[in-house]
Amino acid sequence: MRQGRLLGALGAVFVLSAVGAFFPARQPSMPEPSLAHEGSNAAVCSIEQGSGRNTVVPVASLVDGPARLEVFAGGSAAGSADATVGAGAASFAVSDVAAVGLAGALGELPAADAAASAALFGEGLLALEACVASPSTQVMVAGGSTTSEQGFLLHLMNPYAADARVELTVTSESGLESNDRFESLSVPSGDSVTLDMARLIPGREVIVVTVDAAVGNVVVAGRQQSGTDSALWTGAVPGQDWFIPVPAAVRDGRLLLVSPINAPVEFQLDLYSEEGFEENYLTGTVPARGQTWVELADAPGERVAFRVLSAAPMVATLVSSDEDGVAVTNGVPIASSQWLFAGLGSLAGAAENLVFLNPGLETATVRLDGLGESSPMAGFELEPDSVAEIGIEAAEGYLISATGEIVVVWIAWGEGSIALAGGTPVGE
Amino acid sequence: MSARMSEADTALTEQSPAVPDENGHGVKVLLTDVEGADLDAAVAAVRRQVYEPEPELVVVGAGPEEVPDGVSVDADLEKAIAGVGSDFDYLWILHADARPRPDALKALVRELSRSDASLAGSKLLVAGTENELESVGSATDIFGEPYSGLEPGEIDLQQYDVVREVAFVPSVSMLVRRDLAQGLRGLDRLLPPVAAGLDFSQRARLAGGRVITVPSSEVYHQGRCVVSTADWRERAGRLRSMVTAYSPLTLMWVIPYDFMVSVADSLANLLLLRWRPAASYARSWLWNLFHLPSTLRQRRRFRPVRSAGDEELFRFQARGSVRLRETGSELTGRLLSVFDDDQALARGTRRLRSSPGIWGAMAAGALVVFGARSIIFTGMPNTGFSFPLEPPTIALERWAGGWNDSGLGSATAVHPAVGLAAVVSWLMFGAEGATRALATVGAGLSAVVGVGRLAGRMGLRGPGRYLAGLVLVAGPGSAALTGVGSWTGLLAAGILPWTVRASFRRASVGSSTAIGWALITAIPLAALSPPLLVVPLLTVLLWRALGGSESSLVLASASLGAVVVAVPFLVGDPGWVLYPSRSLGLTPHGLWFALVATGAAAVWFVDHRARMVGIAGALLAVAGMTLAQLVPMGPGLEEGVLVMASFGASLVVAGAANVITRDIKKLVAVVAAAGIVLVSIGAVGNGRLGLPSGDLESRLSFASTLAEEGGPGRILLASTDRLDIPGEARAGPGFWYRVVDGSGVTQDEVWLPPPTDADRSLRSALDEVVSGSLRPGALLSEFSIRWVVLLGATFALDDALDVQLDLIPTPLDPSARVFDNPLALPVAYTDSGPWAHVGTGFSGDAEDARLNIAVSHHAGWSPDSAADSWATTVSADQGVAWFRAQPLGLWAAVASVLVLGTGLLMIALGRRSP
Repeated sequence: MRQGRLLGALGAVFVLSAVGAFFPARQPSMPEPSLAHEGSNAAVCSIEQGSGRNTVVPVASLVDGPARLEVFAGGSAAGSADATVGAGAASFAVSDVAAVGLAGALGELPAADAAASAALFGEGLLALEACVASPSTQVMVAGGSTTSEQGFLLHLMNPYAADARVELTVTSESGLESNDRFESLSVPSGDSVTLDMARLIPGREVIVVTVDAAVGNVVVAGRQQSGTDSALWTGAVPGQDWFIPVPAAVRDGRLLLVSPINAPVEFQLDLYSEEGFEENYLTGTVPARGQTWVELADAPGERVAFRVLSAAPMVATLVSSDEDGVAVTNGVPIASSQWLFAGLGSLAGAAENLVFLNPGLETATVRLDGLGESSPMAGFELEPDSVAEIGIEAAEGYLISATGEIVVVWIAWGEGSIALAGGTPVGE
Repeated sequence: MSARMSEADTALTEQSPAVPDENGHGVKVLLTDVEGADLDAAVAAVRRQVYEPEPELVVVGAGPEEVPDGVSVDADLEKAIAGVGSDFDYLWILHADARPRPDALKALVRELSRSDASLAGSKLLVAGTENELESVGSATDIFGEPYSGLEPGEIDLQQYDVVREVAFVPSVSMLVRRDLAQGLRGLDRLLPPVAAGLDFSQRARLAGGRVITVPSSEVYHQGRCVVSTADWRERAGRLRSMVTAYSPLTLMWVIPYDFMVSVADSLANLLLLRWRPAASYARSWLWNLFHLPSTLRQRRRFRPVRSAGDEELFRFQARGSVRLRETGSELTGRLLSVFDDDQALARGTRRLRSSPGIWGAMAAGALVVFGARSIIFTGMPNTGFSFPLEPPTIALERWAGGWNDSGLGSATAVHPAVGLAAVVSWLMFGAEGATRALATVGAGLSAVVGVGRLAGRMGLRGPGRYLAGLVLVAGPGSAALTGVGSWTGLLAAGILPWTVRASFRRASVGSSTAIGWALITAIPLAALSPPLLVVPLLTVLLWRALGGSESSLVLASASLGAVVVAVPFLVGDPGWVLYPSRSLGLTPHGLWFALVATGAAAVWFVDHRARMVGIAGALLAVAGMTLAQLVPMGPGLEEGVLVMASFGASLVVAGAANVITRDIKKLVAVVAAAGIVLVSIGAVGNGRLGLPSGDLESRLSFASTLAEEGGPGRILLASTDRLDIPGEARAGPGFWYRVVDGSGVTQDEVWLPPPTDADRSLRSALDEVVSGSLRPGALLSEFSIRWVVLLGATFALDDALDVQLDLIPTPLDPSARVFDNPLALPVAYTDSGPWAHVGTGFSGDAEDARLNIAVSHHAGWSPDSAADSWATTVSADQGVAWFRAQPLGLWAAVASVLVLGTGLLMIALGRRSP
């Protein structure tokens, strides 16, 4: 009897062992699904105030709400202003916040689906650029020049809580520049650092700066001075796809292709024009840590746009510098169905156009919604592989929507001045 | 007495003529009255003395109103001695409860004069026995503690019949030179007999006399005057005799030394569950303080007579403390007897070889100590689920319904282990490091001895039963638990076999005592791991189902009563047992199923009893492992089934390795057991009994170091790896997190209470941070989170904190990302400033304002609690804020003490009954 019980128990041991060994083990508990990063509702802008130069920071947002602009310098806030974004737009005049010369400004926007721009005005001066929402560990600022009559400033801004340290790799047509100011450059928290390249490396025709953040984060902007006009553009994250719609006013400009890597990079240039899409319009190689120019005037057609495809990350920058002024802007890395242009239509004394490219296969219906109190609306059809440039009615900013993914560039010009800027893709 | 006396009488008659000149000296007998003694019989015994000239007899004390002819009475011994004329050479001081043999006086006189001594004592035999020795003179230690060398009940076989010098002779029967007695003024009447003899002997020696014992002078002693040498009066007497006799120089060190010995002996006796010695010491010291004036008078009176130094006394004294040595010996014996079932050690090392349990225990014990070497030499790791203990009073307050400070605080009861650890820490005088280390090493040894003793009670006697304890410490489930730092799991494993053993009743133990032990052993188990309380019941049911008969369902059920210790915690936080989302997902390695099944198959070849033990253990082991492997459960239950799995596996080893022979079948079982033991030993090889290394306490010490006026605040810890987070963690958006006290993580914080509104608010704030909030510092400030520490690989929170504006990255830890939040609010503050954490509450300057406390709101906070969103505010007008104990916790604490008291009482009652 006892023996039978023991035998039964032994059988139970075997059965349970088999069950335990061969059935899948319960899964350890896991944390809840990660939330999507809604994107930063910050906007870091390079501003300049004083000496006859004024900066305005317009804000555009899909969500109305409070916005704030804080000018930071010397580790603390030099001044700040609050505004309410109503009807999708608001604007900060930096003159009302602080007169600090060249400094960084941090905009806190009502939502991640918002944009801010920095518009610099002065006598014979107009410069535009979309502010940067979030920093990157590596950016390139290409297109500066320190030849006579020209000045190039590199503006490194750190509005974040941690001090930053960056390494600069500077190249020019002469090759890799060597200067101890480019090594382990410290950018304190709440402050910005400006490098006057004309002093450090004068006489360079084309300067390309690669900024690598070793510690912390910085936002980088380039400021090119030519005559009375200035160009303002931010550092671009190297990528393998770039779209460059070319406004008619800078048809004689140049496309600068630069590579951050220490190896030659092959690229292919596709052309969009009234004559259609021409794949492989141009192919070539960007030398290691080098640069290549493409003269836009050589391309056939009146309204043109380019697509750059490369074998490794690189940056494409559109540069225009002549007697009409100087303008620089980076190529657009993505196509989007919604774009925000903060301050578009609000530049006093300047004409403003938008250049559209439809790189898709379908015709896109494009709609322009003016933001602010006067809300002009417009719309048109944009054929596949086509480029269009249209004038803009007065507003405080624009929301561009399309049924397909498009690429848009903003151009403004005044007396002896010209400016280029990209938009901010939203709603993705 | 009569039998021996009649024999002795005959012998005396034969011996008497051989002694030439023992008579002739005048002797006066001072018969001191003893309460309850038959004085007439005593007088008759003296009258029967074969001595010439016939001694003159004086009864000293109240005595009878009528005395026989020729007997005088004197109320005072000192006066009686002083009144003795010079025609008497000796005085025989004799107690009225003493019955000297007829030749006793003659022998005393003979040896005293022959040895040229001054004081001689008789050999005392216990009256009413055939030949039991009471005293043959004694040595003492420096404190006067007698050391006779006699075993209790030792029979007189004339083995001590040598005239020799001794430290003292009892006052029951002593012959003293008249002149010396008069110089010393007799016995100290305040002292009991042994102490009086000691005092008189010491003074006699210091006065230049020799003190001898005369075994040929036999006196039967009825012991009516006797009190135990451990009695407080004897202790007090010894102290008084020291003060009387020793020189000031000796007293300067011997009195403090005696005090220290008293304290040490008291403590050692407390460990033996004896409180009386401590009380006895206290009374003896108080008595001496009270009688200090008379002691000093006595000392002054003795001074003129003194002619020798203390060295004369030291010659006859043993080194050290006799009392301490005896207590230590008893303590050691008790400890050894824990695993020395066969009493092999007690019976002598020669029999060690024949006691397989002993060498098994020694080997297992050595392996445990080796496995705990890092803990012994460097202390406990502070990581996982093992952290320093709070001060005992605070921890006890928390356990008895006080505020649970874990996370953002809660009124939910703390884990009962907090209360148990507090009690142990209190017993260790608050030395928390030593408490944890000793408890951990002790748990390992307890598991080894416990499994051995349990298996012994199940009928096994082999060496494997102790080695099996290693499997309980580091077997299939325990290894998984200790691997993540589960300290309480390890301690519970150390207790479990004892609780199960208490359900296996010995026939010689009364039911009251057995139930008492079942309760007492179950209390720590319930405190450490409440679900394990069902294991004794499961084991008993299984054992009985397999045909075992020694177990008791009543005892196993009684142990369930200890659950009262954990009721508030289980009621307050059922998720700890039930919610799988809180568990660590620990499962035994798949190899263990094969090992246990093989072991179970192998025990089929051993004898029936071992087979039963092995198969019962295998069933428990695979049941525990399978449950852990397949069934979703909370962390408490997970801990329970894993420890049960190891417990079962240890029984498999105990059964399989019960007999080591050359029989091939039994050898197979031994090999299977060895395999299980070897795999287990690997888990404890890290020197911390399997606990992981690490010192989070030290890593996070920057919070205290950099604390400002508002205190160190709290630390938010986050990681994608659950095991990076100390103690329990909450599930966040893509990562695990929790907050800990910036002043240092303590053991009570290991368990997080159920989420409150505060936790939900913190979670919302974290969602915002992860979503890209620019100012996470501002969001976290209201939770008093001064530091954010991201552990392990980078994750979403890293991305979010890379681009924010108010948390300052601070390189304080090379293997973590640390952010300082300068905006953090103090945990408790008014508009005037922060308040300090005091105990479980706060204190600060009294003012007519509200105190904001960043803890989950609960009405129990005083004074005048109110909610401020999820937080609490109270009135600051009293300068203190405190939390009222919750009734359930308070009652459970009282009930726990009652259960403990009931258990102790039942043990005591059971022992008293015949």
